[in-house]
Parts: sequence; structure tokens; C-alpha cells
Amino acid sequence: MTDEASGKASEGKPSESPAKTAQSDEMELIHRARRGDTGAYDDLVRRYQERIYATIYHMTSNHEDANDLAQEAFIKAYQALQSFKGGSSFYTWVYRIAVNKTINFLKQRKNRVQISLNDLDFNAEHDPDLVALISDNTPRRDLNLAELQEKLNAALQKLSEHHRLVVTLHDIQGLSHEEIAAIMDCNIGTVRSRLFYARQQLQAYLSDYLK
Amino acid sequence: MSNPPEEFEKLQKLLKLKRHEQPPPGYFNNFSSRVISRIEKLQISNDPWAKAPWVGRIFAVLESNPIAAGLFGISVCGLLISGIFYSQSKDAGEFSMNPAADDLADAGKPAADWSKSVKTDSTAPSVNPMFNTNVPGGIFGSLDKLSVQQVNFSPAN
Repeated sequence: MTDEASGKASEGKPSESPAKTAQSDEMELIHRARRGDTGAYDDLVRRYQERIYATIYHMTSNHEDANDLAQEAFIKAYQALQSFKGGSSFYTWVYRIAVNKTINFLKQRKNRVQISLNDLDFNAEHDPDLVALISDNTPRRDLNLAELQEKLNAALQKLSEHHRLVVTLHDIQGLSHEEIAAIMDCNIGTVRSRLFYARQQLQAYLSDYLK
Repeated sequence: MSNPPEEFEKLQKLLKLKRHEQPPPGYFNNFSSRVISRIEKLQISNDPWAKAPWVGRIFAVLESNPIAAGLFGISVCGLLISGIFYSQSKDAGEFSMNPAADDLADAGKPAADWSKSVKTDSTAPSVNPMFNTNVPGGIFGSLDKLSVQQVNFSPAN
């Protein structure tokens, strides 16, 4: 292996791939956080805050609940950091904590669904798929994006927590079946069947807007 | 429940709308600092030394510095040993106050003095208010002030 700067053969360890470097960097942050270094934990939170918040938000359809639950999930993860063995990635582990916390919250909340949606970003109006969806010659072509957003969230809230979770993780956040299985602590077949059923349910609830 | 594939494609496009839902601008700028401040508050509330931080600081120094911990241990042991020696020497001093002379003095005393010395103090106050005659204005206290007066008594006709 040659050193790019000098052109000489480097005698040290072979250069690691960026993914491995990121992983070892993350383990270092975890070790420091375990010793009470809150600065290191701050770095870890920054890495995953957006994805964790988004998952919880799509599950609850409520910004305030998502804010509270995301903070609590990170606090719980910090308190349980000593029990993190490194068998799975830290990302999967934190995700599992957040998902369990959210499902418990939703079970307690039951039928008291309070929707408090975030605004759509500027790019939504220029997304060709979405533009096509609302400008098609459908009975709903007078519908605007905000109304469509409300209908979609209402339909998602009709799904069970586990079905909503697979749709959120796969169709919205783009996680693989394997990652979802690790987060939900179930096998890939279960993930696939839940996803299939959830999509069918959503198509039925939103049939007026999909024609 | 059978849905045509084009509906499934439209559903996928519709779900893309969710990705455009964003929290208020700047929301994530201080999200981590809010989490960290909550963690620190929890740590302070769970810390037994939170109300006496100087004790916590002493323990922190002792934990991190083995020499300081050793010196602290030696000084505590020294204080304990010196305390034991001091109390023993004090007890020994009290018992060595010429006991033979005391015995001789007691032998020469008359019996009356002895009886006086063992007489119980009748004026000791009782905790029972019924028998406590020393209480001024007690329930029998007014009997002392009774005086005999002559009364002219003539039977009625």
C-alpha cells in the first residue's frame, strides 16, 4: 500500500474504508459517553436526531409528541449506554429504543389522536411526482398539497402501530427489510407481510386520491 | 382486496409527500443541547452529593488521586487511635484519685450522717400532678391557708 502524499509504502495498518472509520469513530464516542462525556454523546445525538425524530413524527403525526419522545429516547439511550454491547450498530439500537417508546406511547394514547403536522418544505411544490398526482384528471384535482397531506396522515393513523411502522421505515425513510427486521426484532418475512398488508390498507383508505 | 399496480405506484408517490414534512426551521440546531441539558439535570437530581457539592468534590479528588486517598485514610486512622488513647488515659485518671483515703473518711462518719446521706429527697418533684405537692397552687396547696373562725350558731325557734 502506498502513501499517497509521499509515494512511499506505508508500514502501518492498512487504510480503513470510510464506513469502518466512521464505525470506529462512533465506538470511540460511545466509550467516551459511557465515561460521562456529554460532549461525545452530543455528537452521537447530532448524527441520528433527524432520522429518529422523523420516524417518531411519521408514527405520531404530531410535532410536539415527536419532540418529547425523541428527546426521551435519546435520554433513555444515554442511561442505558452501559448495557449497549455492540452486537448491533448504535443506530439500530437507538432506533429500537425510540420505536418501543413510541409504540408504548401510542398504545396509551389509543384513540385520542391529535394531529399537529409540520409544514411541507419548499421542494414539495416542485416535486414532479406530487405535481402529477394533484394535476391528474382525477375527481380530486382541485385538491392542494396541504389537504392531501392531511388525508395521507389520517389514513396512516388508521393503521395499527406495527403496520404504520413498517410503512414509515420502508416507504418513507427508505430502510431495507433487514434493517427493519433488526429494529423491530422480528424476521424479514414478517416485515414483508406487514408491509404488504399495510400498503393494501392504505390503498383502500386513499382510493379516491389514487385513481 | 386487490389493487391495481398503478394505484400502488401512485401510493408510493403520495408517500413521498411525507418526506417533505419538515419541523420548524432551526429545530435541529439546538435539539442535542436540549437533550444534554435534560441529561445533566437528571444527573444532578440523582446525585446524592448535589446538596453538598464540596463533599462530592472531596470524594472525586480521593477517587482520582490514590496518594490523597492514602493520606486521608492514614489521618482518619490516626485520629481514631489518638481518640482511643485519650479516652483510656482519662478513665485511668478518674479511678486513680486516692481510693484508700475516701474509705477512711467514710468509716469515721456517724450513723446519723449516713442516714442523712441516704435519705431520699422528699422534695423531689413528681411527674404525677396528683402527688406533686411542690406545685404552687396545687390541688392541696390551699389547705395550708385555712384558718378556724368562730361561728355563732343558734338553733332556730
